[in-house]
Amino acid sequence: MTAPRKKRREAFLLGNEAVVEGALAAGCTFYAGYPITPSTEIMECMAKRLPHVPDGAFIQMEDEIASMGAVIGASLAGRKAMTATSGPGFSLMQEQIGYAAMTETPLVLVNVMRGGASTGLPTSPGQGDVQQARWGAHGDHPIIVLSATDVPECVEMTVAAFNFAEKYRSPVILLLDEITAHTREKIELPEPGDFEVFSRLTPTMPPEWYKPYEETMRGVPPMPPIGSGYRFHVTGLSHDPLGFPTSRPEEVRSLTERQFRKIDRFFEDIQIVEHVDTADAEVVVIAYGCVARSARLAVKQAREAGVRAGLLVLKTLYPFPRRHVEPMLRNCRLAVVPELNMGQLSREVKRVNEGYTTVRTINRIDGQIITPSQILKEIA
Amino acid sequence: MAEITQLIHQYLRHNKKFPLVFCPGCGHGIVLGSLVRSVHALGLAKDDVVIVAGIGCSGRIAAYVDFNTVHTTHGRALTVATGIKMANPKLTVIAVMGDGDAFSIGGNHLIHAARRNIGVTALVLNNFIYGMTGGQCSSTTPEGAYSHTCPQGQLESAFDIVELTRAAGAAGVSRGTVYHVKELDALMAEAISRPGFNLVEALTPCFTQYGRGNGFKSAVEMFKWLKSSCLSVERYEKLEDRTGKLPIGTFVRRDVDGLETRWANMRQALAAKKGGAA
Amino acid sequence: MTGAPKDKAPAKPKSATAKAVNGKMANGNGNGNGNGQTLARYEIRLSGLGGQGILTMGKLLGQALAIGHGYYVTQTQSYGPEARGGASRADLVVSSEPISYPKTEYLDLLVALSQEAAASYYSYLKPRGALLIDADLVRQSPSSVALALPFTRLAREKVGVPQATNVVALGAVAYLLPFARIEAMRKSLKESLPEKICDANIKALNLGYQEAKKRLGEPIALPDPGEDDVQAARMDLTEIMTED
Ligand SMILES: Cc1ncc(C[n+]2csc(CCOP(=O)(O)OP(=O)(O)O)c2C)c(N)n1
Ligand code: SF4
Ligand SMILES: [Mg+2]
Repeated sequence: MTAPRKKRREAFLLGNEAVVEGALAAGCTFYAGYPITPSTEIMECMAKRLPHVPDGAFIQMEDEIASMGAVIGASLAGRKAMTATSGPGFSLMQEQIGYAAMTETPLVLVNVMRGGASTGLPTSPGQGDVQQARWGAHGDHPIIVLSATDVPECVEMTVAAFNFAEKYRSPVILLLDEITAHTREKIELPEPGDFEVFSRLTPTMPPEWYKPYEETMRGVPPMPPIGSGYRFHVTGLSHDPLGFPTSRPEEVRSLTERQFRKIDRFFEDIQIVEHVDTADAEVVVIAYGCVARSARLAVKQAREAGVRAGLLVLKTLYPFPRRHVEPMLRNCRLAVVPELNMGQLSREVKRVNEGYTTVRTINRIDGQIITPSQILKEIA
Repeated sequence: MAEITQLIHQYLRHNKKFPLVFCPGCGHGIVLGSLVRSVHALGLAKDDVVIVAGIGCSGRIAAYVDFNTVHTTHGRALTVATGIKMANPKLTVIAVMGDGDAFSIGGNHLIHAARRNIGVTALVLNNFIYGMTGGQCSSTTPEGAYSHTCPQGQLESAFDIVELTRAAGAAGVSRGTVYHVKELDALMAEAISRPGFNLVEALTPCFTQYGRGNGFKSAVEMFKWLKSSCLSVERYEKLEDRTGKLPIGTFVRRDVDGLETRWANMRQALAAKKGGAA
Repeated sequence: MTGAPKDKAPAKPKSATAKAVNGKMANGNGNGNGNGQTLARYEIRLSGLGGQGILTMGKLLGQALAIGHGYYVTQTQSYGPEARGGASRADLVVSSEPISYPKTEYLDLLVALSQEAAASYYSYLKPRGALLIDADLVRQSPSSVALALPFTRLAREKVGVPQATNVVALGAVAYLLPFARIEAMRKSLKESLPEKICDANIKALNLGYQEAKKRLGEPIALPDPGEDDVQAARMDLTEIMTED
């Protein structure tokens, strides 16, 4: 495709370390966090790297609520900022996620899912935070949730997370799992120009004309960094286009509607999926994260055994990629949804299915990964 | 009077609906005035000042002043302020909080902000009560005082804010009242100017939710109480009988660098080392 | 230091998203062809006690096979309570094909530097898998056909650095794996270890390699592709792999 280039730098990294490579490639200059297994390597790696990054800043906060607060503050001050956590910390962050969604503050939050509720299984994989990622913060709010299946994808999806955060002025949650985070694989280290990198639009009009929450064509108003001469009010209260609290029904409605519309309109851009052998599939496996790796092998083995199986890997979990899932359900006699939880994304699949085809779930909650043979048994 | 009008024009938002949300006799508006006057006295540009507020009647101050204003979540103002200061140290960051905000739900953030001495000024409007939610006790409600959640009188003791923040390591700790306005203006200006984390506790009456239930006949009486019971630390220290008296003034002055400065110095040292090696 | 980011406007048309959609990513993984040897899924477990440098050994071996040789490699390891309780383990899957399932299922090579490790992991070995043990530390080998070298003693007496036990063992592994090249191992070592300890470790690596060549016979023979039905042999071991 392209002319041979000079040899690229390669590294044998953990998924967690690859997230850091992706973040820095996307222009992240701020990290605040609180250590928790199995996400800690992200924080430790950032602590090592950010002092050397132009304008880089790093801070270990007193808890996950504070970490989110600091990330929100840094983002308001113009930085691309992120934090990472796992289960218990993710629960603590929910109120601030809602605040970021309401104030349309771009940020990236990586949640490395571990097993079980509460303290659960700190060093085992799980996928039990999928519904929480969508609905963990109270009240109606749009959110973008992404995932990654292997180490190279940790780089790409982190870049995508920053791009979406900046483009749509939204918090973006990247859901990894312990396996993906703690597996070492080779990646090519990103170099400038490898990825298209977006930064939030800043206003071009004079400050006195600027309305921070104005309706625009894209539904995403421009956002100046604090201290750049545009003095405006940011609040988690329902607010009018100028940012001031309001309880007038028409202003409240138009705010929420715009916040949803700005995401809805760009489904095509946001909803990332990968099709593997789905064109002629009679059985489709719908998977994400580390389970998609097992599914890849299972589908291959099923094909070898004569079953026309296909795999749909969801890299965007929310907004749920209905446009991709629905046609599969209409054309296949069986859909299999393997997950490391009691059935969370399968709820969305069943919702979209509307009784059309058979949806079978494989649920595993014992801290072990779903194996290829487990999936094969359900499709062959 | 002309001077006040000028300050109003210069620092209050014209596009914001007035009057204030505060009850008649509420002390919060006076603190708002003090905030504006101290920023004016220091000659800070409005673009460089960030007010980060928590949730409560006190947090509503942010919407009225023509600075960069961020109204955050309950108790978390200092965390957002910390992020802003680390991201852009040239900004003057002032966190405005209530007593419930700063010392109850946000207590952990407060002691850590003090310990790490992030260059933020914490302005706490202490009315001894949760005003906004209708009069429940906070961690500064005095022992024996009444509120809707301690109708038989508060059994717990109150935080000693000065000792708490002193022990946590803050660069500056001071207390003023809305009766002693000139002094409050000066305390705030001093706190904003000092590097590191500085806390100003402003005692402010809430007749609606606190005074009424605790034997005060009017808001005015609460101001009179502030007048009669508060005196400067210097005079307070000389008193033989201190019962019913409260010291005001500056209690802690430490010479430290803010965290943002230490971070910048570390980066500079790193860059110098790299440059030297090459 | 100011707050405003200075990213240039997007210049390149290809986006992170577009890349991720197009099947397997161009970024990452090997070209799959190490030594010109094509390799079906090959699974290795390095095991022993905490403090023996098992995890470092896993990273060094994985790095050499992935970057030096260009194979696809996934490396996982024990974390948490297990890792703290004294046992230590690093697993590698090596292949010429992209690796779907990243964990080991059924081992081709088990390296055990402690009695406990040899005993508890032996059952994961394929029928024709190879077992490499520390001759002094594993007194009761679970198999009569185990390959044995006194790694710990060699490190102490011949290298003079007891901590280099893992690298001596790595040298032996480099000899035994027919698809591994010792130069690539050396390079991986040099790139990863601090300069201070590099010489001793290169010495340890060479020693392990030479000793293995002298005493362990021919390198391991890879199963002929299609010889035994690997697929059928791969069973679902998750029930007994509780400490995974
Ligand atoms: C997480 C959370 N819990 C509770 C509340 C409800 N709440 C709003 S203001 C407030 C107390 C405010 O008291 P204080 O901080 O002293 O401010 P004041 O109104 O007295 O100025 C409470 C409990 C909230 N907004 N968020
Ligand atoms: S309730 Fe109290 S604190 Fe709130 S506005 Fe009224 S007087 Fe002020
Ligand atoms: Mg109060």
